[in-house]
Amino acid sequence: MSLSLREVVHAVWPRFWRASSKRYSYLTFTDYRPMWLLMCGLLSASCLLPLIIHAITDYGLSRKTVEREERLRTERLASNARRSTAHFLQERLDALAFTAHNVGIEALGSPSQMAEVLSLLKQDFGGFTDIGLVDDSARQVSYSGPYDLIGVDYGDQEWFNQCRAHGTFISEVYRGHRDEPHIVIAVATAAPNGTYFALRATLDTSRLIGILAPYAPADQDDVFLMSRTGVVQTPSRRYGKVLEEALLKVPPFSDRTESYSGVDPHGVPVTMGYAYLTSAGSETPFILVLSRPRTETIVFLSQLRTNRVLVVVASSLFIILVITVTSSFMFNRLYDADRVKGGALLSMQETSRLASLGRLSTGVAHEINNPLAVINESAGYIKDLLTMERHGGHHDELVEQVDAILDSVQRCGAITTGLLGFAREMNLHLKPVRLEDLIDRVLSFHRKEAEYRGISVSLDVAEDVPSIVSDPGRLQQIFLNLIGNAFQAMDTGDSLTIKVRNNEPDKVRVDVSDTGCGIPREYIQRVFEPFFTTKVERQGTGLGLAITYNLIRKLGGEIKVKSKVGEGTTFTVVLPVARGEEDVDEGVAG
Amino acid sequence: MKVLLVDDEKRFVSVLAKRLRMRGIDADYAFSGEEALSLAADTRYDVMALDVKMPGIGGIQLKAKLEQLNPDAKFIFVTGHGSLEDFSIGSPQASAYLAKPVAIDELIETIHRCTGVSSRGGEAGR
Repeated sequence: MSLSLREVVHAVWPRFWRASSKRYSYLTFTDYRPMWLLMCGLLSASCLLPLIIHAITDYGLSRKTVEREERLRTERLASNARRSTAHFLQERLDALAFTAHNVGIEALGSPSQMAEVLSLLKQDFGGFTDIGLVDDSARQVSYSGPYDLIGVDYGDQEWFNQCRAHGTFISEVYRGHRDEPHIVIAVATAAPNGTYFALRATLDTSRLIGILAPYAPADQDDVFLMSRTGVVQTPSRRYGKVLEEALLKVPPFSDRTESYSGVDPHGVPVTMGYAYLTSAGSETPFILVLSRPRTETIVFLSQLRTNRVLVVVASSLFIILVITVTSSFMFNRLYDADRVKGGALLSMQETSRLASLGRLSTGVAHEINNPLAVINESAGYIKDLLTMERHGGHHDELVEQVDAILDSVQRCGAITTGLLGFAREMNLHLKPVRLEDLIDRVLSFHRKEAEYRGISVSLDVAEDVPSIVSDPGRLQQIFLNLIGNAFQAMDTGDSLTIKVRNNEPDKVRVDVSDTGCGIPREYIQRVFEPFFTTKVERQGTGLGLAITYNLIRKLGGEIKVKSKVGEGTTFTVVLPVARGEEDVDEGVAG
Repeated sequence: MKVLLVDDEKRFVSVLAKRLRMRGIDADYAFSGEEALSLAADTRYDVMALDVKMPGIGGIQLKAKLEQLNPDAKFIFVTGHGSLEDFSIGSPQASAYLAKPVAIDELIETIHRCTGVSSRGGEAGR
C-alpha cells in the first residue's frame, strides 16, 4: 500500500474546506462548501436510496418465501399425521362394523365367541383391549376383556345415544373404570329382530402414540392430540400432561389442515400445524396439533439479514467514497480556478494602487502648483521692485509679498504632509481609525473637483459612531475608489452624500450615495466582478469595485449596492468595529 | 496692447497683472468667468490668459463666450494641472498652453508671439 492515510484524506476531503474559512476567503467569490455538501448529499441519496429499498424488499421477499416454505412443510407433516391417525381409528371402526355384521348378535352373545372375536381383533388389527355387546336397553350383555363388566348399564352415558343416532362413536381419551387412558369406539347395528345393538370396544392409546411419534423426530418437535375442549389426549413434550388442560388454546375450527407462525406459551417462536380429525366423514373429538420450533429458520433469516446489511453497508461506503472523491476533485478544480483568478486580481490590486497613486499625484500637483504660482509671482514681483524701481517707497508692498510667499509655502507644506500621511498608510497594519477623519481626508482630494463641477458633497457622521480597529490604508483605498466612482457617475448639480451610522452593535455602516447616472439593472449583479466595466470610453480597468469588494471582505466587512438609472447609486459598506488579530495577513505583493 | 488675465487664485492673478504692467503690458484681471465676461463686454483685449479649471464657468467654456465678444483676441490657457488630458483639450483651441508656475518672460514671449510682435524688440526689458 503506497497510499498513505494523508493522501486518501486529501483525495476525499475538499481542499477549500478549511482554507476558505480564513486566509483565502477574499480570494474567491464563492463559498463552495454548501454546494459541495449539497452535491455529495444529492448524489449519495439518489444512489443509496434505490440500493437500500431494493435490499429491504428483497429481504422481505426472501423472508416471506422461507416462512411460507416452512409453514407448508409443517402443514404437510400435520396433514400426514392426521391421515395416519384417522386411518387408525377408521380401521378399528370398520373392524367392529365388519364383526357386527358377520358374526351377528346371536354369536356375539356367547362369551366364548366374544373371546374368540377379541383375540382375532387383537391379532389382526391390534390396539384392542376389550370388547362388549350392549343391547337395546343399554345393558352390556356380553363382554370379553380383563375386567368383569357384564351387566353394566350404560343408559346414563352419552355415547350410547350418540352411537344410536350416528351409527358410530369415538370417545375422548378418559380413564373411566380402568384408571388408564383409553378410547372407546362403538358401532350401532340393527339386529334381525329389528332391535338395536351396539358393539363397543376399548382402544389402548399406546398404539395411537406410536403412530404419532415419527411425526416429531426432533427433540424440540411436538405432536399430540387434544380434545375439542382443550384437554391433552396423548403425551405432549411441551404443552401439558395427558388429561389435563393444554397450555395451548383450542385453535379455531377448520375442515382442512392449517398452519401458522407464532410464539408459543413458553415464548418460543414456533410454526404450528393443526387439523380437526374426522373419520369416515364424521367428526371425532380430536384435534391433531404439531409444533416445530423455528430456530433454524430464524438463524437462517438472521444470517440472511446480516449478509444483506453487510452488502448494503459495503456498497454504500464504496458509492459514497466514489461520489466524495469525484465531487472533491471537481470542486477542487473550480476552487483552484477561482484562486488563480483571485491571485490575478491580487496582483491587479497592486497595479490599481499605483494607478490611484497616479491619479492622486495629478490632484496633488494641481494643489501645489497653485500656491507655487503665487510664490513665483510674489517673489518675481519683489525682484521686480528691487531691480526695476527705486528703494524705499515700497516697504509695505514688500512685506505684503513676503507674507504671500510664506503663506503659500505653508499651503504647499500642508499638502505634502497630507500626501506623506497618505503614502505611509499604504502599508498594512491595524489601528484605531476615526472614519470621519479618514473619509474627510479622502474627500479633500476631490473638494476642488467638486467645486469646479458644481457638485455638492456632504459627510454626515452620527455622534455615537465609535472608532473602529481596521487598516487605514485599505480603508482609504476603499473610499477613494467608491468616491472616485461616484464622481465619475455625477454631473453638475448632482450631490454626494456620505452617511456613517452605528445601527448594529459592533458594526459601522457607511452609505456612499450619489445622485448620478445610476447602474442599469442588468449590470448590478456584475459590478463586483473583476474586469467588468462599462466605462469603455473612459478606459476603465474594471478592477476598481472588484478590488474594493476584496479589500472590504479582507477587513471582515460587507459591501452592497443599490441603484436606479437616472436617480443614483448607493454603496453600503458595513465594517466591524473590532477586527480579530488572526486575520492580519501577509500583505500583498511586497 | 491689452491683456486680460482670468484665474480664481486671486493673489496670483493680481500680482501677475502688476508685473506685466511694470513691463509695459496693459493687463486687467478677473477672478471668475462672469467677471471676465463683463470686462470683455466693455474693452477689446488682444490677448486673454485663462485658467482651465475654475468654479462656475471653466476655461474652455469661457473661451468660447469671450471669443464671441472679442473675435480677434488670442487665447492662452494656464493650468495648475499640467496633465496630458488638459493639454489635449486645451492646445488645439488656444494659441498657447502654459503650466503653473509660469515664468514671466515665457508668458510675455507667448503674448508677443500670439500677437505677432517680437519680444526682443519690445519695450519691456528683463
